[in-house]
Amino acid sequence: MTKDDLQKEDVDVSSLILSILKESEPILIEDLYRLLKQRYGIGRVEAGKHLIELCREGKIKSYRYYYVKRTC
Amino acid sequence: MPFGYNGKILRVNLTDNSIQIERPDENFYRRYIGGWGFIAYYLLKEVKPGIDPLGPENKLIVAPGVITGAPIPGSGRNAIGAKSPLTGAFGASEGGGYFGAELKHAGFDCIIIEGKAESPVYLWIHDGEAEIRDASYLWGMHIAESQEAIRRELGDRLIRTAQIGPGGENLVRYACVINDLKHSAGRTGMGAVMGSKRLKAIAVRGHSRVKIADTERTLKIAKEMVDRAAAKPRGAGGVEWGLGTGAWMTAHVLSGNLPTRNFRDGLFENPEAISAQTIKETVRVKMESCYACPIRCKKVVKVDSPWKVDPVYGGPEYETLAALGSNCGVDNLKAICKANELCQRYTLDTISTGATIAFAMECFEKGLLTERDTGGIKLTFGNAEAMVKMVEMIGERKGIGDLLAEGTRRAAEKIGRGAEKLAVHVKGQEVPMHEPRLKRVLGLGYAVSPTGADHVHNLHDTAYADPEAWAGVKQLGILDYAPLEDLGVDKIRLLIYNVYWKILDNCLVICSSVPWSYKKKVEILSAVTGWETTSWELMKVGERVLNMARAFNIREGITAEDDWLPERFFHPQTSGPLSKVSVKHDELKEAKRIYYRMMGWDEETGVPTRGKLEELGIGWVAEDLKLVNYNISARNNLTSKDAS
Repeated sequence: MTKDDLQKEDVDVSSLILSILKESEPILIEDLYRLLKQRYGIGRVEAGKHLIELCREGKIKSYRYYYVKRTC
Repeated sequence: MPFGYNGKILRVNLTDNSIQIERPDENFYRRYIGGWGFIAYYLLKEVKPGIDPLGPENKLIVAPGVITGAPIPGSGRNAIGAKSPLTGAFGASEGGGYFGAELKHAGFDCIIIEGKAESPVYLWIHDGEAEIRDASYLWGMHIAESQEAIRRELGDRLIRTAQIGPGGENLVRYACVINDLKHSAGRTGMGAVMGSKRLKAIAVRGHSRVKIADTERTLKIAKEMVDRAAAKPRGAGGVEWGLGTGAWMTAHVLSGNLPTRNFRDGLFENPEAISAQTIKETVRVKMESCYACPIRCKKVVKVDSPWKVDPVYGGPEYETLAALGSNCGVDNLKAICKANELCQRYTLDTISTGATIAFAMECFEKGLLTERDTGGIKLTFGNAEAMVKMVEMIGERKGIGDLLAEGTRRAAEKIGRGAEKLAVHVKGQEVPMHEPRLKRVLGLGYAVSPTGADHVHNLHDTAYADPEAWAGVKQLGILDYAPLEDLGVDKIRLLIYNVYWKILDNCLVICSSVPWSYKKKVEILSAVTGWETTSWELMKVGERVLNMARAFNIREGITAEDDWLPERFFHPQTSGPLSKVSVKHDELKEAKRIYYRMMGWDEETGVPTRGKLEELGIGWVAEDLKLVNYNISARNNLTSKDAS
């Protein structure tokens, strides 16, 4: 999926994050932000809000402080 | 005179306008080193128990360290100390910039400021001389204006300053002293002590250089430290290098470590809105450094609207971003930058300012404060405009700002009706922006710190959570890994050893942003002074000074009961990873007992034993302060309380 696809399809950022975490978990939070920016043009402020929401929902959690991983 | 020092201590009495120069012997320097060591010595020797911290009997000690002013990265700092008006205990804080180095270049190792001026003055120190000058026309100015006026008056653009703004003049109990407009000696209210003496500023200029025993060796070590810092392609957690503090906001939230809405809630919703990365992308104009330091960790920000933020006052550090941001529920970066700038203008500690506003916001939410109290301001969590307004009102002591200028402990006592349970402080000092429900040994460190809660002379459990990171601990003789949540004997031992080194840092007054190893600290001190010192000797300096600060507090009536955490931490956060985690009374009590025992203090009262003080070469503390009697009476008090 590209930046253009994202704009066309109005893709949910949380789903994207979960799909990336499925690829390689755990992942450095910084690497996750870089991937979201490079692949999809999603900025860290927007991505950060979704990460916190996913944590609230219990779908992700902190790992060794600087990493994050899926719980489901 | 030993190398590294000038061999001269300046004593200034503002009551009778006298100025004296004292020349201590080499053993004095080697025993106490500088910074906190000098502060602890003069406070114990010269400040009588029970005095008003804002009265003329208090003494303000300005002390750089032995390597301050030498061409070594992280050596541009100085400490400043007195009896704290915020805690009533040992007060000390450290600031960077160029002032400390310039003071050494001007010929002095320490300034002792006594008494109280009749009208506002400033102190002008230059090339081995000092004079007290009129500052009536400077009083009330923000510090950029007063620095400019001083430089103009004295005709030298390179004069360095340590100053107070209106916050210090108005005796805000957590007012700080700021070097060179943007480097705060933030904690314990030293700006209020300066204000109480009607001392607006210390201006310094010097042309001498620090005399070094082995210049070649010193420069070699300095270069190694520069290379070590420069060799890091990325910071911890893979963040971009060169962002300064505040670059790990999401990691903090996901682990429960970002204080949110007065340390009550768990998940701050918008962490990256207030991160160092976002600062870089939006409001940062450059990075700056301190004297002789290549690291350039200090942000400078500029905002034009809706608030105008003057870059001359630098930019917010992590503690500020959290204290005035997440802890107040505020995710408006420009508002935080403005609040930070106001704290600099008024010289307010951003941690205590943010924590006190957060406390007031929770009081407002619970109806303990109303719009009648706030002058119509809706002081709700997340209200950025209200947060900014509060900073100004505190600095001016206007309206409710007058109450909040007293700090959370005193404000809570005045508000009453349970407000005390919302006041997040230790010994009266507001808790810094690190979470003791996650970092459990840090929590113990908060509780037993002589200055009240402090995050610098402490241990951050998360730094040792990874077994690989534990490798660095083995050189201290602690061989078995202890996980993040551990609060056992080895972890407490690690806290103690680490704090000795941190207190030593406060005596050398070196910056913790420079990656000094234990070994390198020994090497640099040997190279600069010519003393072939050892880790053993330096750790004992840290232990000695920690015991002196402890003794000062005992003399002031501070007891083992004050070594405790605020009520908030005995309850879980409302959401997130720490929603089922809290500090347990029994565990903290036991950890404190172990800590006292390891320190060689009375297990119940926390009073240093005579034997421990003698072992540290400061038996005079026991003699002068009659600590043995304190020990007995404190024990009797505890016994009678238990009996009742």
